[in-house]
Amino acid sequence: MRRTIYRLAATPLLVIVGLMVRTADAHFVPAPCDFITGGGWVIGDSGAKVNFGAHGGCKHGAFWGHVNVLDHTTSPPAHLKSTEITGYLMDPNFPNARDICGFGEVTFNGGTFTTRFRVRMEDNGEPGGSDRFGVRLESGYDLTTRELGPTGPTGGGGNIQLHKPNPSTTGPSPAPTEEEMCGTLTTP
Amino acid sequence: MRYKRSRFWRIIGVAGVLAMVAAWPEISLAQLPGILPPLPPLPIGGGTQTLTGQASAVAAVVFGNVISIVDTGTLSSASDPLGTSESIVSMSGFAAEALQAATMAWSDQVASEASLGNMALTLAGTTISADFIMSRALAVSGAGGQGLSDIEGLRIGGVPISPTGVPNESISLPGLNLTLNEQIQSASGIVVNALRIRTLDGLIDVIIGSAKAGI
Repeated sequence: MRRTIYRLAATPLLVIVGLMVRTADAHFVPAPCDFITGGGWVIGDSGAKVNFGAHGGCKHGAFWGHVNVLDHTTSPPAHLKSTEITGYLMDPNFPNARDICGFGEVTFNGGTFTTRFRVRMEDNGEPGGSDRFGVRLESGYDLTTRELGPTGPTGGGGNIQLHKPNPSTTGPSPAPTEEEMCGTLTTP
Repeated sequence: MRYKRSRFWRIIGVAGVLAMVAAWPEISLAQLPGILPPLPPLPIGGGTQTLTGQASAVAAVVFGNVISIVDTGTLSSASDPLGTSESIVSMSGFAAEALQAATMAWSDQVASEASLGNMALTLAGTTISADFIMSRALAVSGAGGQGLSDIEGLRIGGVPISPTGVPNESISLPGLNLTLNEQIQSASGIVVNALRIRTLDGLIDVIIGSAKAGI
């Protein structure tokens, strides 16, 4: 009898703990996995254009994609070119958004170095003015996620498309944790 | 290292050809046919469906030489999506940033996309530039093809141009013919060329943002 009472009391506690763990690890590989593609530009905090072109997703038990970002705050622009994709994540609070994590080569101020990156791409329908893009680098660069449009001196442009899963869009099994995919980088 | 050398010579070659393009005088000859090959016909007899997908940031035929920049190659199956990208391409007569191209398929559809930013092309003495160019092609089994082009901040000779968005919009310039949002439909799909520039002599045919999808 006492054991039954303990079990009845423990069950809701375990559920609550489970939900807390899920909340703490809110970003995970979508299941089934899918693709996101897009390009465009946003206006950075300095007022300069930040161009991007990227696509990512899962492919045959691994992550897949390419990410390029150019910030015109400096001349020539600083640019990031991905060399490895280590994660593709979704946040259930933003079902149209996907984060792509990886390592990339940054060229800035005459030098080149490798750093971890995390970009967010969000597809909010057509045309792409309501779509959103942001990028964060482990080296310190941070462009918070923002809308692409409207086109003009204070807005950007472009378009992002979230594609449905297909037979090839299988991610790694077991799915890695957010930290394994993105290190300590949080969503930009 | 072998790859880097090969890529170096390829870029040098492309730069050389584009340099010739920039300086080429106007000559009157027949136009070249479309750069991208036609979509294959639907398979006969109800067998497995034929998928066609390809995307490229730039595809050109210059004096008979086929040039492609940031090109996915040809999609071979639904289980092998293709993608490629480049941060910056800068060569004589052409420059662009954040170039990317991707093509992917499902059992019932194919989607392809190409985009690039800060594009500038000088051809026969005219500079054509755009803040952003994207083409998308989608082919759904039994429903044909759908296309979309996005050209933002287009300028020709420094003069801003607002595309109508209507497919196959044509602009004539001295020595050049431009087609915006070119859409070539076929029974099995569609080819979408966001911006196509041809010299009147037909010797130079440049497509900026090309996406092809067929099923």
